[in-house]
Amino acid sequence: MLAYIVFILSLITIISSVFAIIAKKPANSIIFFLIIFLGTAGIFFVLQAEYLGIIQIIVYAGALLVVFVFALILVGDIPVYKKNPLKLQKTFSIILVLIFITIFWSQFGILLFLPGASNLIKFKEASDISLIARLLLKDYLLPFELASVILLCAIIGSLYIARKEAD
Amino acid sequence: MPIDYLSILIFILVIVGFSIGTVVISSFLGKKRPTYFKCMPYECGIDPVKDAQTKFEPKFYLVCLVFLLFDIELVFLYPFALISDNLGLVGLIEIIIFIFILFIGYLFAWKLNIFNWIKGRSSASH
Amino acid sequence: MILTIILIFIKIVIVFSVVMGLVAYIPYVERKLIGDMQRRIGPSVVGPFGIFQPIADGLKLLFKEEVIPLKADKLLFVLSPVIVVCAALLGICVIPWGDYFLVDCLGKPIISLGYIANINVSLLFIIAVSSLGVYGIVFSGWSSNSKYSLLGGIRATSQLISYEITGSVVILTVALSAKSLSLVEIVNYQKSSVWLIIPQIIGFIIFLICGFAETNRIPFDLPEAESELVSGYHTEYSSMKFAMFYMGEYAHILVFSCLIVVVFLGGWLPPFNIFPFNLIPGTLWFGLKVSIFVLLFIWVRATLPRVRFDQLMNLNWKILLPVAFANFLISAILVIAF
Repeated sequence: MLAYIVFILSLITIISSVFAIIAKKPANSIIFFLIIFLGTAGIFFVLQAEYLGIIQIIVYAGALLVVFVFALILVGDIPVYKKNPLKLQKTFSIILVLIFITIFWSQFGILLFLPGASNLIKFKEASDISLIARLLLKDYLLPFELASVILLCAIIGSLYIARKEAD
Repeated sequence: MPIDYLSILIFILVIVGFSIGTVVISSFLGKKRPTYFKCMPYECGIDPVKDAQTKFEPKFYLVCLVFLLFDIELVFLYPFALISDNLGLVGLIEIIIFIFILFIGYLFAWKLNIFNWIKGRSSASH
Repeated sequence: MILTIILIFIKIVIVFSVVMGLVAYIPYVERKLIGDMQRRIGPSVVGPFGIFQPIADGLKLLFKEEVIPLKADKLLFVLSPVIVVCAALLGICVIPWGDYFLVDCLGKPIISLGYIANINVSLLFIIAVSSLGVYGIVFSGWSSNSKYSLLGGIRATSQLISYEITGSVVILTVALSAKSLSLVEIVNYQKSSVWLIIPQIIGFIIFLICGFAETNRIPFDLPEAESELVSGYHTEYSSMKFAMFYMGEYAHILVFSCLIVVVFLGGWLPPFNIFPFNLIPGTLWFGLKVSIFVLLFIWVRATLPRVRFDQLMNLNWKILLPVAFANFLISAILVIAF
């Protein structure tokens, strides 16, 4: 049961990644991107990593992609290419995805349908938010504080560049 | 816990089915007689001037960037909220440092007039 | 297993019907009440007191012609109302309205009748799904290819993401006080302690303001400002797709009222756990509190004028956000000190 859900979700995610690449209009790419993030969040939920799943939705689907949408609207009318200039990359990426699916299926996918597979997919640790908190605030204290510095640098840099362009 | 996620899954299927169903049914029921003028974008009765999807005030984009900063910051703070008892004073100091560092970013954004929406007036006048 | 799934399905269908009934009748109550406040009659023709007005409206919109603008991006144009409705309704599935269980013959609980799902992160779940509603709004504005729609959509998005941050900080403070992100746990905490509105009164007020902004209601209905933007991001919509935006708005109001009741006003708990109060079933208390907030939304609409966009943004970024963070830090100090 669990294995089937993981399988369906990963299939949806991979297929929409392909569509996100080959979609002609950028806006449609964003919709497929949304499906990718939601599918990944779904996989996290099935693996009982609730907090990671929620972060996936809040940060990636709810915030990061909004910036993409704004960039899309800000740029305005992006010309839709009749002939895709990235033809080589497109073919190449499709081949890569197919290889990846094959590897995934032969290594991991079969495993999902074996008896006792539901015992395999259990991240009991990740489901406990207080455990994440203890790791973050006790064991990995310095990286935690560094994260805030990195965020600060990111925001100052991006705002400065965007501001310069805007003026 | 699995039962709860199963319930959420069924609920999602029900509401997605309902909303897509409504759109599809109404598109079948309603009559369709499109004319050129009916399908024109609404612009108070006159012919539309230029394309609508053009450039606009970039300040909206800057606000969006600041939003991204705070959204990621909050993700780091939720775990603290759950075990603040356990951490005691050390945890509090950590969090105050964390928020203080990001507060600099907030001040920087304020200094760049990102929260100021009236043109030609500096942030000092507020 | 199959039996459980069938039971869950029946429960969900019942809850869904009740919610849709409420979503259909809140606009009726709103029109009637605002009519009374402005010395008009309001809907009064269809049925006694116009009670069948929502049904008539719904049927009428179902049979109306569907206009898709020539230059519109068809896929996104059709998809946007679906996203809006789904994002608004999805929050319902983690709201607890009581603590009842269906038990089997041995007295073991099978499924809960007090909520659809109880997950560890239900508070964040509501924030996450309601933040997805942004896409419905921004894409409806963008795909219509109309200037009014685009302006409305952009404004709405800026407003939603700004106030989402402030609301999240308040949620964070609540989680700090209750030591949990699960709505059921938060109500249980309030049972053993006091309602969170008493220690978190500042948070409550900020959250209420955020609620008005998140649902695009007066005084923060800038995206739909009819005097300047016709009707904002759904200017080009017609037929049932138009109705779905309203469905989304009222569902959002309902979910928000439920959320604020559960988080700050003790959910299904009676105000005092003494004799005359605890006879009334919890769900009735829950309904009573939720209806107070829904009526507050309507009352405010009849009372307040609209703010300007710069005032809206200033209020959030320069006042509410710093106050919310200060509130969080003070609460953290108090929680750790005591």
